[in-house]
Amino acid sequence: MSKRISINTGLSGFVLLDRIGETAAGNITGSKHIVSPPSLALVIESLAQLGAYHVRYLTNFEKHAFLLKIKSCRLPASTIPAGFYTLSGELQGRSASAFTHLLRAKLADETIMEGVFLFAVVAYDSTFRKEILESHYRRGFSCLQKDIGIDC
Amino acid sequence: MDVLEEITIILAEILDMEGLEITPETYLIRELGAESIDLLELSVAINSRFNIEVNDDELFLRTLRIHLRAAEMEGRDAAGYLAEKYPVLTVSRVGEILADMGGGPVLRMKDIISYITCYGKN
Repeated sequence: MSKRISINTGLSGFVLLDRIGETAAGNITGSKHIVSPPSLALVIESLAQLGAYHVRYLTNFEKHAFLLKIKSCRLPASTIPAGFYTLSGELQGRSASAFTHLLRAKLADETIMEGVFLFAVVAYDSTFRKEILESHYRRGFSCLQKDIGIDC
Repeated sequence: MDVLEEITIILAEILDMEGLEITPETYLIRELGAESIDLLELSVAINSRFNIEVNDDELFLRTLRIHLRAAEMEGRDAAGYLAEKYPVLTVSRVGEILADMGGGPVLRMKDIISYITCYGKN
């Protein structure tokens, strides 16, 4: 017997990005306000979301994108400060099924965290359903670009 | 530095194996234990280093068995069918692959080198 459970992350739709800025074939920018108490995990997840949105943008939202791996990761030595983080991603390489980005989080011009993120893409199927996901991510991307949040 | 040396360096980093010794005959999956995530990382590294568009299915012979089934269903000669689907492979390499399939994944370093040599601009 299947049982339905609810998980409340306290985060609206688990969209951590506040905004997506300039987006081009080779790069993307965004921002995230990290409130106190600051969490490095939220910075890492925000970078992953920014990179995944860039992958979806590059594939015209016609594939499902997900994070596979983070490598060459530079983490801060101590706890991170709260504040308005500038996020950026540079496409380093791509194939038909995978993309790597150098993703970086800065606070007032100081790099707090950076790493190489590997993303994969797969065709929509019965698990990753096109009729739900494609419009969801298109809308999310559009809203974040308009700087009005995911609930627009 | 030739293509084999460059791929060896890239693979050593991906697989976290220092002093990796690879020849064109080395099997990536059977011998090196490369997993699908490692191959995806390799494909983007090849794109980045050699500036070539990478089709993972073709590069890693991922759809080999699908093509063989299709050839059988269409009543086509398997070797000829594979040669059409994988233009970077020589006729003799296709023959080797067909004879070797019982042993597991057939992908060897020389297949990666052939792909880069065929499509690479350097």
